[in-house]
Amino acid sequence: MTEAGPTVPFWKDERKLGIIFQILLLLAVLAVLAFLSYTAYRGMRARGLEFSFAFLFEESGFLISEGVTLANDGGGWIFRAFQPSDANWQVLLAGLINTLRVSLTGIVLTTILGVLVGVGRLSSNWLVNRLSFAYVEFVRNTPLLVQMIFWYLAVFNKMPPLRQAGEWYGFILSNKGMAVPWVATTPAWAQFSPFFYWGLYLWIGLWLVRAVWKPPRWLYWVVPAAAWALGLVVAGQMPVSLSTPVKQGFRVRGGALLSPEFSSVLLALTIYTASYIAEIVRGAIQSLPKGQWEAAASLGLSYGQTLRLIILPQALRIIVPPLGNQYLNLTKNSSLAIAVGFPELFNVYGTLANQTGRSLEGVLIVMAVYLSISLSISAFINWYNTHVALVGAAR
Amino acid sequence: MKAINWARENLFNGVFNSVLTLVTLAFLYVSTKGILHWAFYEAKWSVVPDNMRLLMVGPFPPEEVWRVWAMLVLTLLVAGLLYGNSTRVRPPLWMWAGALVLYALIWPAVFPSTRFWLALALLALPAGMLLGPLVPRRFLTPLAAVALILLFVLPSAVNPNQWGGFFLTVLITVGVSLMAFPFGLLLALGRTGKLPVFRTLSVLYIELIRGVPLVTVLFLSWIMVPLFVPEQWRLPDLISVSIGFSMFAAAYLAEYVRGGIQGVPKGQYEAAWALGLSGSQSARFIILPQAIRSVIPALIGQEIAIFKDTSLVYILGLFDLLYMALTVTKNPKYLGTDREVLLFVMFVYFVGAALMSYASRRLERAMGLGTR
Amino acid sequence: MEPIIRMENVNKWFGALHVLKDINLDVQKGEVVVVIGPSGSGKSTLIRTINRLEEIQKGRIVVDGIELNRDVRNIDAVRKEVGMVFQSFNLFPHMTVLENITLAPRIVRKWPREKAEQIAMELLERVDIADQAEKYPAQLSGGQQQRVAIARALAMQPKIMLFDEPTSALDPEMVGEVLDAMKELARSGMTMLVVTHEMGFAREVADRVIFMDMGEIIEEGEPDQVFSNPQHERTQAFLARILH
Repeated sequence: MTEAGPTVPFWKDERKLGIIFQILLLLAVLAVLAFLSYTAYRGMRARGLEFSFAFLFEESGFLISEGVTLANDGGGWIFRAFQPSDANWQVLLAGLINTLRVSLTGIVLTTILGVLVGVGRLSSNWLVNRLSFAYVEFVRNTPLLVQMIFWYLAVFNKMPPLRQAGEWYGFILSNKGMAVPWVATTPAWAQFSPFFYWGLYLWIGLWLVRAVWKPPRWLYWVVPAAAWALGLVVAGQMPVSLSTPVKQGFRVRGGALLSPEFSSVLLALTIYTASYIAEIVRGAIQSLPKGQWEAAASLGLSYGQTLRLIILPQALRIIVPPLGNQYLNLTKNSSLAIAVGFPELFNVYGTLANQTGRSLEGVLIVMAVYLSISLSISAFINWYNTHVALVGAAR
Repeated sequence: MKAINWARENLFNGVFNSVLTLVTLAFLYVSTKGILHWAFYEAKWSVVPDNMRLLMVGPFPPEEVWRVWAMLVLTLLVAGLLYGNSTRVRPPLWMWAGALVLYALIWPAVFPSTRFWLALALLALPAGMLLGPLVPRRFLTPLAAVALILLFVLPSAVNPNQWGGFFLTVLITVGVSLMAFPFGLLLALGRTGKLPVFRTLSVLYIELIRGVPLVTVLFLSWIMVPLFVPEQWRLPDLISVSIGFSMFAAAYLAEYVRGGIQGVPKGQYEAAWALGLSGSQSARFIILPQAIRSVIPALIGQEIAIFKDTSLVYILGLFDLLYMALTVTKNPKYLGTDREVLLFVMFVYFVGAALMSYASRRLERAMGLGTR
Repeated sequence: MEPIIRMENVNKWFGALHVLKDINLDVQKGEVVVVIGPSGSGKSTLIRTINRLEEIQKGRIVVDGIELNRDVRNIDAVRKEVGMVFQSFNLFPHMTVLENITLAPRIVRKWPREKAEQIAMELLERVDIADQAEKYPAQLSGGQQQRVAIARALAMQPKIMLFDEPTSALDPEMVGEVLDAMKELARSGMTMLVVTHEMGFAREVADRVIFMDMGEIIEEGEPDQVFSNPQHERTQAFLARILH
């Protein structure tokens, strides 16, 4: 590539000006980072601290209200309730597990609620339509944190004690939290479980060999179903049953008891995020051109067939990427649980920072964890966009 | 007869819809029965007016509260002036009537000494609109500048640690938006530009910030500022938290603006260059005005998000509306009024956010012209 | 006489695609040159290199004595001298017609508002749409928009005007009004480079017609000669397609 004409002084050369600006920018950013690291280093030295992650392996010495962590019980690594004698990394892990527990449950519930409300917004039924509208408007225009604290202080804290608690269809609401029906295993589980797991393994195996040999579609259903059916025959009775909670003195028996903290966080996240999902669902369905309905009708498809074969597949393609973003938001928003004392990752970090003084190291770990969760969800959205959404999306 | 026809068409058209209506009605009855009973017979609503000053301005010294009132009056007056001057719209009757109604509704709740200020505040907007057309155009910029300086001077006589309540919430919202906007623009320009280092840095920053929760960023700036900043430059918590908040908001803002910039056709750049405009001139006069105009609804949405997210400073112990509300409920005299107070907080946020989204819709319609 | 535009051995690639091959072209002051050729022949790219909307990789371009290289001063200087009209008008949608025209004179030439507006109104008069000055582009027809675009380019008082298929995006009934404005401009002595498919315009106004294909200048000459007696077979084939 030759430079055209006489030489150009560098401060007037378009391309060199760009390069000079970028070098200056890079230097400025590096200078700011260096300044921050230096002052942080000095600040920590002045407090007699040294930047180190060794505290992760020291004993934590404090208790969290609920949480399961990975621990070595002498024989091997198992999941069990967190104990104060566990190390600091184990308490952070317990926090992360709590974060994932509340987020994943919330994601399932909020999707159901959000789709219902979103469809409700398009309903021809005036009452349902207006109610969905009011729900979306109210929930979206008030802060999630206030809603969460409301659920905790103004709802669960004001619940009657268990003795006077109300029961609805197997749900018990008291100041001890929310008791819900849950699946429990029966004695027959012992005989059934090998078949259960083998069915699962085979199913995963089928997915894994896909690259080499593409199994017929029906095989995905038939293989695990066959394994489980065989298991049922061997066990001779149902290996799981639905356990409904029952009041017994000061305790609840059966079912699963969700703490007031967990319930508040879960309800707040579910209800808040659902209002956004509802708008996504509504927008996606409305954005489909009327011509799609008309074309399908002119081909002789029924309403149900049109919805199932034409509308929903297209709407889904529009819905999934923003839906993924909402899941991401829900997960990140679970960090607000610190305000009601649910020991998720960020809350646990707060306690840990208080106990050890390791606030800088701790917040870096916490941010890195959230970042990796975010990046995995974004990676999925990108994968979906390139592999699913674009296939046949001619518009 | 009309009502029955309406109900038949909108509530009971078909078996499915009829069942749906009945089920919804039953659900509404069950869920609202208790709530309405509580709201009308059990709730102690007096806690809200009794603590109005705390909720609105927090620990702001009572004898200095006139400063907040003056800021409110000034803002509304100047807003009215600018609006009236640019549109030549005379204040409609409902604005005067609304001011009268609001005054009648609110005056029992405020001290006699503040009723004067209340009246001023309610009249400021329509009065500004009325006076707006009378002010010559060249006086507007100096006028706005003086008002802006006054808005900085007025509260500065009071230590920032004593700012609080809804006043602080609004202040943080405005401050964070003002700080985040230029930074967000810069990031958006970097990400859409063709300078590779600038672009990479912008992308890294935006994705890093968007991948973590706001509260971690606020904590980082709150806990870490004492570590990072040398002792002699120590800032009040309010400032360091606001800076962290702005850095967070800028990343989201940048993404909205980027969408707008990418929506501007390539021909617009070419036309600007062909006319001899430099890169920065075309960005300033051609690209950014169009880009920002096209994303105004999204930007107001972002503004609402900032407004709602200010509640997070409660976690850091700043005296915002939520903090003051929860303080009120700890007063032995008002123990157990969490519901009333928190509902009031939600109401305030709801009105603020709803007003903003109403303004957004109006703006969108008004801008229909000249947006292609 | 020194030509106002001189292109010597100009070469340009888009990646591996060689879009301009050893172009040599001199344009004299006041000359009207029409560039024709099949789509993808490089004719738009050719005129876009003259105000450096496209960078060239080899060769040199001198516009009115200014060497067009990476020197930002020279690029700015050339862009002030060269006006351009685009196929898709590219008016600024957020500005009125008057603001569209006065923007560049005010911020690039630093003219006061009054002077810029006065000249803008004269130009609008000249292209016959002075009554539309306060409207937004979206309120105008395509033909009106393109005439505003011509006025906008002229407001910088350029020495050279480039037209990149100025009538291709117009409804047929509006082509005439834009061509009329261009003819008037040509008669006033403006140096013009026009990429167009309007052979009638070329025949009537052009001093010289250039036929391009595959990035090369295949043939050039006076319109009568090129249209009635093309020498090269590719020119013959192209004209045969386009004239029937």
